[in-house]
Amino acid sequence: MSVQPFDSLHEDLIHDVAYDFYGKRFVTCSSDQKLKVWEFNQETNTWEQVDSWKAHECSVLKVAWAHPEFGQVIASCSFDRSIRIWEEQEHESKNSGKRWMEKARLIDAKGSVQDIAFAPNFMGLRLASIAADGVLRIYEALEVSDLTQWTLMDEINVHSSRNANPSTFKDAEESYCLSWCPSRYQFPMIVVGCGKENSAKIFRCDQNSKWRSCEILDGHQDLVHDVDWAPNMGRSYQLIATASKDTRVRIYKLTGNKDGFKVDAVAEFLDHDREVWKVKWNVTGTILSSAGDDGKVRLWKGKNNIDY
Amino acid sequence: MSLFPEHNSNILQFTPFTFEPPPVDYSQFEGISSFPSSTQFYEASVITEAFLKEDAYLGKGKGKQVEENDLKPETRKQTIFLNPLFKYDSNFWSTSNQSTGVKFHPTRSKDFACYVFGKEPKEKVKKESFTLDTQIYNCSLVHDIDSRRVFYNEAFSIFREAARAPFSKEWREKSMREKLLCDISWNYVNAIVNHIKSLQEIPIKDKQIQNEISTFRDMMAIWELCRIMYFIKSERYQRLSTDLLTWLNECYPLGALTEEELNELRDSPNLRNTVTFWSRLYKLILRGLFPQAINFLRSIIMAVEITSDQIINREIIINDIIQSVIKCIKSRPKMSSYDTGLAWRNWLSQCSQLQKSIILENKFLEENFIMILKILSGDPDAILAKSSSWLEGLVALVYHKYPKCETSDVRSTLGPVFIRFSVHPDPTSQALKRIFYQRIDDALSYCKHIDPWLLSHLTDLLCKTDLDETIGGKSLLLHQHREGYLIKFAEPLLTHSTLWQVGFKYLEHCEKFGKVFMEEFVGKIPFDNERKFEKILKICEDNGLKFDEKCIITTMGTKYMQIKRYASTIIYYMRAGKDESLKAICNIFLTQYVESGKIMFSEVLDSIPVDKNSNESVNFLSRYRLYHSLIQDEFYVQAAQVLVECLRSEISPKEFWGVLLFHTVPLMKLGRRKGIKLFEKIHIDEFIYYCSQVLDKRIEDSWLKLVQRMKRWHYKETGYFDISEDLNPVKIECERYKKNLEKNHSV
Amino acid sequence: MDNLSSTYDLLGLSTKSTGGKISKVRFDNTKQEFESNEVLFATGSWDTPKENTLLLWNVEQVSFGLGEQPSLTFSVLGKTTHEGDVTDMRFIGDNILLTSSSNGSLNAFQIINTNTSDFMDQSVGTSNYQLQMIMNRRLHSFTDTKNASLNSFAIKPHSINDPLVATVGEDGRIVIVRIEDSVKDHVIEDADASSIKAILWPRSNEIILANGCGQLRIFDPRENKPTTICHDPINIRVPINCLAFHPSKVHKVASGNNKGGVTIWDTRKLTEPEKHAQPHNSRVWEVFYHPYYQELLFSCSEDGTIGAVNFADFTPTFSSQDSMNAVKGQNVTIRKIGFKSNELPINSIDYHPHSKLLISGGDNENLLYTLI
Repeated sequence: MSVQPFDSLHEDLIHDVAYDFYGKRFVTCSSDQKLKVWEFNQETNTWEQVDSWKAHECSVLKVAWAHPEFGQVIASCSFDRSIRIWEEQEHESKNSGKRWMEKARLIDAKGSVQDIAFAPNFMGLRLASIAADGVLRIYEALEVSDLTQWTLMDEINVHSSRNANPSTFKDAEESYCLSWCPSRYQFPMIVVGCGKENSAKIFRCDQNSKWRSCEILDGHQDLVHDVDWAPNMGRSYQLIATASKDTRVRIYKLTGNKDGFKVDAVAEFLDHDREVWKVKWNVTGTILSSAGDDGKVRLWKGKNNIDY
Repeated sequence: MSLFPEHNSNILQFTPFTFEPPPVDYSQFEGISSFPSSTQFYEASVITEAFLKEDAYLGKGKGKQVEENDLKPETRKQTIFLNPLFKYDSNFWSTSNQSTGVKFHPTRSKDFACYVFGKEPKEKVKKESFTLDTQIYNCSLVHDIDSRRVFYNEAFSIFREAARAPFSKEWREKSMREKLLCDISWNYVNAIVNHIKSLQEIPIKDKQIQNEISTFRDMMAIWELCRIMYFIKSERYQRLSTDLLTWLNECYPLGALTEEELNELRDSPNLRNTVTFWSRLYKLILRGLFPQAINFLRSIIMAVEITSDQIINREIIINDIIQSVIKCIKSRPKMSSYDTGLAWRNWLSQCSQLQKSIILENKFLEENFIMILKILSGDPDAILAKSSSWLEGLVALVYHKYPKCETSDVRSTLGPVFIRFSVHPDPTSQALKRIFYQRIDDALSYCKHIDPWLLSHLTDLLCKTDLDETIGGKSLLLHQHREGYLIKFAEPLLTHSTLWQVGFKYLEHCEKFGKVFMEEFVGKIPFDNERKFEKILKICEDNGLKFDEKCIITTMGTKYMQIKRYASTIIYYMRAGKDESLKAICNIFLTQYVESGKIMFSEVLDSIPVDKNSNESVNFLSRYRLYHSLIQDEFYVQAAQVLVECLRSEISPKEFWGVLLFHTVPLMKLGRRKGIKLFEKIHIDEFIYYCSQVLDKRIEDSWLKLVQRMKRWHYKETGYFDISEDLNPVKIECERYKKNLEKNHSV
Repeated sequence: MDNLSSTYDLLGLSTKSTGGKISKVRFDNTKQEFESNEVLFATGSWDTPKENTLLLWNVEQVSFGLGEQPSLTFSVLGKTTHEGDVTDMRFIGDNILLTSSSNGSLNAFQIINTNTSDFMDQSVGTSNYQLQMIMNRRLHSFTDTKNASLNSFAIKPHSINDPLVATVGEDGRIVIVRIEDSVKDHVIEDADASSIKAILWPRSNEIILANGCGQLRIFDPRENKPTTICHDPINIRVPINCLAFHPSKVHKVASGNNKGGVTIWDTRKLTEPEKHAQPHNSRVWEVFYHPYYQELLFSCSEDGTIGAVNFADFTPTFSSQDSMNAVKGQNVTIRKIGFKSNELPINSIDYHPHSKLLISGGDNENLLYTLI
């Protein structure tokens, strides 16, 4: 195994990193309120900084790339309750701090925005976000060439029982995360890790473009820190992984039935023994990585490939 | 910023260590690089002393991690990664605001990035001092396949041949079919051999190259054995036993004598007494290397004079025996189709007679000669006693004891071999063993751990043979697995910068699942110039990946949009059928006109031939430009026609209809003055209708803005004051024109 | 020539060191045939991440007596690295090899014979050549930081002593330079608003361009605006990838397009192309005329085959009314040449009339050749 490090030179804690669609660029965000974009130079085999700029008024929590068919577009979300959309300006020079221009600022959230993700590109340019106020918001840029216009398409309360007062939520205790279903042969779906409910919920968009909460993935005993929906790759079932404060990583298998999905928890890993913070599937959905407070990154692989 | 976290002050001694990773040689992590099944691969090797000092966690000693529990049938734990900077302290991360995070690479399934991240944003935690680690670690678990490019290309053309073989006319005849398969198999082996040769030509061989060479050797051995055991079935003069012997001698040859052995042989006073001599001779005989064996035997024939001395008589006897043994070896029946059982029986009885006749004083010599003859006659104990490995024993047993056996009989002969020898647990040996037992599925599952190329291509070729017939009735999993193995092999190629085309071609041969993978990966090939772009599109076209084709073309269009090369953007958006985006670009151009009064998109349109099938927004722009040039060249009648066309098409945004209406004013005036009939009554009515459309409340904002902008330049350009928000100039002019028409009409 | 069998087979030259997927092959046609026994050609590669390679080859024919097919031996004489994909290549006099790159630059390499043998024709196949870069100029780019691929170049006719080279690229410019003079370039900005794919310079005052939307443009190099713009109404908006001019009739131009068709144009009457043929079903990358048998057009394509279209017996058939839909090209004969197990695209071909050798290079990293 080869390991190649590079220094992101942030002045404070890093909160998130994201590869672009091709894996040739990389963006990092940090408590120093900056975003930094890196590009891989084939000839020198190193990552070089394209630009670095102050993106928000507070720590930047998550960052995501859009599909290249929409251009070089990054979305970032922050403790300052805003989501900002950035577009690369070719005519500005590198490392000038001006190469990425803010195109839009989405400030509907009433709490710090904890996770954002772009939808798979067959849905157009759509962004889902979830904030500490427990609301899942889905935005769409109806005219792709005009990145300044984003329409809030839907606002869904993740906690169905608590419809009311966002002010009763305490930021510090909630922890939300989300992941889109990447498959293009399904209805649009998002799995949301619902903080205090210690579970994850699947929201589906039906034919009338209405988002509803559907299945629930439960079984964890504590906050769900991260969720990830695996790429389907022709399998007849879907896989979702969750990472939780209860030190476990779980994998759920969703098999389709006429109303939706049948949820089975097919695996549970206790190996981390400490809070697990991140889970992520690889591009073919065959390897799951998890990382946690024990300082280790673990890679998991399914023993039997059912359909092969 | 303090570099020493207060609560862990007893551990760390780094200084620049935090920001510059230590120069660690990660290449020694042998076991971690693959996903093996056996336990031995779980131990990670310890590296440098620096590590030991920091006591970096290496994940060692975890032992067998396979989940035995049925509740979790699908997973198995794998590699442990290490974070070299901090001592493994189970509470360290839990109590601080940091933790480790990981993200997979979007196109390579075994590459990922690890980093240290903050759990809560700085605003939510009290001031704490910590060691800031801003390193991002890019890790890769795959070996570089670049060195295999030539080999993969060659193998692909053979694969292609194999794919076409079932459709050729030779396929129908069974014997021709075998020949085809053998040829193909031979081509594959040739490719492997060529690659080994080219690897051996590299002057400095590092660990990886050596591994490659040994992997390829293993592949060759397995492949050839498969060919012998599976691809050749009909009667022919070459028997299985000789094939196996040749195989053994090629793939696992008897090495040269070592320095020691050579010295021993040279310095020995009497070869006949030298143990090394005899052990070598046994090897030669076991392996059927008869010419060398005969030479060896000849070398211990001692010249004697004929006297009646007792001792010398003994020598003569011994010489005679040696000669007889040599004769015996030479007279061994050759394998030919007309060898009858009789010839064999005769020869065997000769051997046994000779064996019985050997009685010597020198018991050492006697035993050895008798042993040789036993081996030749196929005595299993003798054979196995003198073999040094199970392979040698197995092949020797088949050759000497069952020279005429068929592939299906081999299984039954194997018992004694495995009682005596154990097979090394490495995948190659296990695979070879299974092949002998004709348990091809099991063999292939060991091949998984050798190389994905071997697994996929071998399975593919085996699927084309009539394997089902030979292994009585038991259904094979080969066919089910074939696609999976091919995909697993092709997947790292798909994102390789040079081998991607070959990778996709492989997927074309996977009927069920190939397309899904193609869809996932074809969009992920990065491209910088148009040539590569076109080649990627060809793959989409060949395989009906329409959605991805559209995405890729759109991406190219957007690339040009960002550098403001609008002509190229439009061309690509038109190709992708992105009507909405084209509309937006056209609006940009129309807005430019509104701002400045000048048509700036002429050159763009010049590069794009339009016809009735092209996008309507582009067509609109083209007609609109035509209008302006007609006006310039004073072709007023045609200009009027074109203007009406533009208006009627209703393609441009509603606000722009207003602009078109403003254009009608000077034409109407001209028509009146010069008495040319530019518009019909029906047109005038339309103009009035369109006026009302423009004055719709819903577009009021944009309309007002537009008029404002036009006002800035309109007078300067045209000398007319015909712009007003309420479109009155248009309406007035329309009335006048109508009256004029009526007047002329009635005249 | 008429006896081309309907599917020839390209013999695959399986070689270890083609240096990657081949994007261009070119014979050295600058030397007269009687000067040396060596038939030199060069190959350029593309799509190799770090560096692409230029290789200089020698091919020798060894005949074994009457009636036997001569066998050919290929050997690599020289090698050098090339930044970016090789997009076009040509030998010019004085042992110079000119190449253009996908990073927007025009390069020239001097071929130096390091073989110290005096007598040229007795050199026993072991001559060694060195390729030394003598020019590298970045001529095309979109912005300061973003390179544009230099797609093709052409040399002004009759300027072989002091070659004037016109280059075109994805940025839509024509840049005209002299090889060793780095002082002044003549740039025609905005020659085309889209990207230009191919260029021909048949006459001193006539440059022909083909763009990504299927248009041909004719320029006078001294002017900034095209004198003519035309397109093929049958293949409207289909990108044209390559151009070639007729060896003796300088007003005749052939083009290959993205749909696998070739078109013959008459530059005196560009409103409508003269002839069409469809030798391939996918992108045509290169076309050229046979130097002697002049109605024969060779083309190579993304579909992995080489086509030879014989326009000699072409008779246009007009349908009665609509001349736009005239189905021309019905009577051309098309022969295809392909390699049995080659599915991968062929990017470039070249022909050496003296030795009758047709070589081609493609994405399977091998040279393919045949004798015609």
